[in-house]
Amino acid sequence: MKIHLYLFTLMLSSFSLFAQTSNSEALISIKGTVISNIGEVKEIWETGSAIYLNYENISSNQFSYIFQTGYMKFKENPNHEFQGDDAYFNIIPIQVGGRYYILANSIRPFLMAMSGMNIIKSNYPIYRTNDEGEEEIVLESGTNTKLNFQVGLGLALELFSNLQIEVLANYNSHILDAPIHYNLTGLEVGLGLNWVISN
Amino acid sequence: MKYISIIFILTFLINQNFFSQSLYNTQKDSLIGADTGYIPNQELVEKMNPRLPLWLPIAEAISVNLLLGGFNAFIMNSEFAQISTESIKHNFERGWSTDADELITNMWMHPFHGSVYYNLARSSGYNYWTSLGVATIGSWQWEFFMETEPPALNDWIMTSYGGSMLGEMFYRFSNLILDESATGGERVWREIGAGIFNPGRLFNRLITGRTSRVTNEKLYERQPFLGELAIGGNTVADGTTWENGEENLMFTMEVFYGKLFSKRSYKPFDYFRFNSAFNFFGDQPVIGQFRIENIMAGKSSKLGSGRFLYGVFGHYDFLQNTVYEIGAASVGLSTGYRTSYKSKTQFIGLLHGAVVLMGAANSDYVPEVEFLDSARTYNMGPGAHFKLETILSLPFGSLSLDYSFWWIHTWDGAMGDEFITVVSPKLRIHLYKRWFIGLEYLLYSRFGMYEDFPDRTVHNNETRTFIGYSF
Repeated sequence: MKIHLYLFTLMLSSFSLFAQTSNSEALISIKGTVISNIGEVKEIWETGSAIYLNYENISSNQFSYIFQTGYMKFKENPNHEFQGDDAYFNIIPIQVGGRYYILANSIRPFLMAMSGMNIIKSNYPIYRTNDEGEEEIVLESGTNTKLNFQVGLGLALELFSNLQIEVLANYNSHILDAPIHYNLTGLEVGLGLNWVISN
Repeated sequence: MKYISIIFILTFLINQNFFSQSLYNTQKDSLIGADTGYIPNQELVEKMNPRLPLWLPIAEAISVNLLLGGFNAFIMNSEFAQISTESIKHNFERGWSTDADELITNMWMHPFHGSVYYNLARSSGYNYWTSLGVATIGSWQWEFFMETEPPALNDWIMTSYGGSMLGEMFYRFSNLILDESATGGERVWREIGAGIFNPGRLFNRLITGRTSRVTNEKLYERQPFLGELAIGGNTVADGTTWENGEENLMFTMEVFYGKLFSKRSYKPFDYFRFNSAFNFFGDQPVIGQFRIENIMAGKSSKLGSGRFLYGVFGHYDFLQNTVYEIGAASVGLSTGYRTSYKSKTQFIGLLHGAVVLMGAANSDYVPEVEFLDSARTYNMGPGAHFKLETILSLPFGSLSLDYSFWWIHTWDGAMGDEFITVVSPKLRIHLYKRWFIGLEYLLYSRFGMYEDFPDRTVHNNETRTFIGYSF
């Protein structure tokens, strides 16, 4: 947890040291997504939904950097038996990353990558069966802070000069416990609105 | 060892009156007094070396992976390379994990592999950050597609970020070697020499016809640098005694590239320090030390008669011998001060605090951890790094003191925390022209706090004596 805070503070404090370009475009975006988990975690938490709020600065026609936060909520797999009815598994992601816009037109396909930390709140531990057939805890109940990674692609479409709509699809590979072979992986598709605040 | 030390002291006493030149002084061949670097005209560079489309270095990086994967699968018959659509699907389902390869593989070979990806983009006309992005994509593709083992987060970090550090250093080295006005045998050897440091760049130069182009235009950036080559003996003691270690032949190379404190603002690798040691004819591993410290961004200003600096620095550390193993890639904030260039005795000090993105440190308990490969000797995880560097330039030579500290929080290994320090005072004495002799002492200390094992404290001595040449 402390490491992530150091990293975040470091990033903010060093921000002014990096050269800024004069032809940048700043956007604020809101996105909604649906998530379908894959792998072993799917047996417990099958689907989810998320809402993201982000700030993006397109520093050239093709590259941008993004700060993003949001809220992710997962639904339990109906085939999985929990110890109670009040099970929950929610995440607040805090991410930085960037996009590469393949074309610089009114229709802009892009590739993106995000990383940062997930503040995970859950009320039951997640177990998995290891190679020796023993059950082991990979995430304790309560609040945990873990790393997140997201890569994706999408398409931004200019509706008006200061308003864009975008569709995106991401692959999530979030860490629950680094050495284990199954983590929180899933596919995420969504829709967003981008408001250009300066250019 | 004690005889060698006596010889050094006698040499020091006898030659005191003849020391006229020192490292880091105001002589033309030293780092501080060297001429300013050469930065080519950007319009000329874009005309002569037009930027290649970004898909090309990405496709090249993926092609490198396919070739290497094919070699591993069909020539070496490696199990991990027997990939299929099913293994790729499993990798996406599993997501990031960590792996348990040897220290040299995880902390040195992966960055070296990443330097090839990096330089495919860098030599296509892209800057540090975009090239780092291409290295990240190349490594990601390898981890998810090219191995049956789950994608390893530690490999990805070391290949992409570590690879960018080695890669940019190799790119700058190859800039110093390349000369497109040269012809004949000299040209061939220059291209081969630059290609050894930078195979990705050699490949791009071959396909774009730049290896055979002859021009008097100077297209590649060069910054002033100071290098040192030295050869000597070292002894790594198992403990803090002076007598029980075996003597070993050691070759060292140190390069200070760029003029720190001289500019108002800095881009990545406008300054870096490369510090390496290679062992021969003994029990020590060949690569004993391979450390890079570089500026990413920063500003410098006058402070009194001296200069003050602050900025973001990157650090890549790999230290290995029969007693200790450390590997780490870090980034953080740094500050520094140097006295006036005009002073006869000069002082340079740098203080660094950094986040270790991925680190490794040896631990006696790792082989006892269940489910880990018994060959594993180290703990791995993120952490923090602090470093203090001081250099005092004196009329007869220089005295430096480096202090390095790493905290590695174990993600994979014997769970707990490793705290490692290395203190290394070093004395260089000028002999004649560019020749010098020196003595270095390294005190290594490790304190391990473990969840399932007793805590452990270890101290070790290392001594080095050397004769060297500066260039």
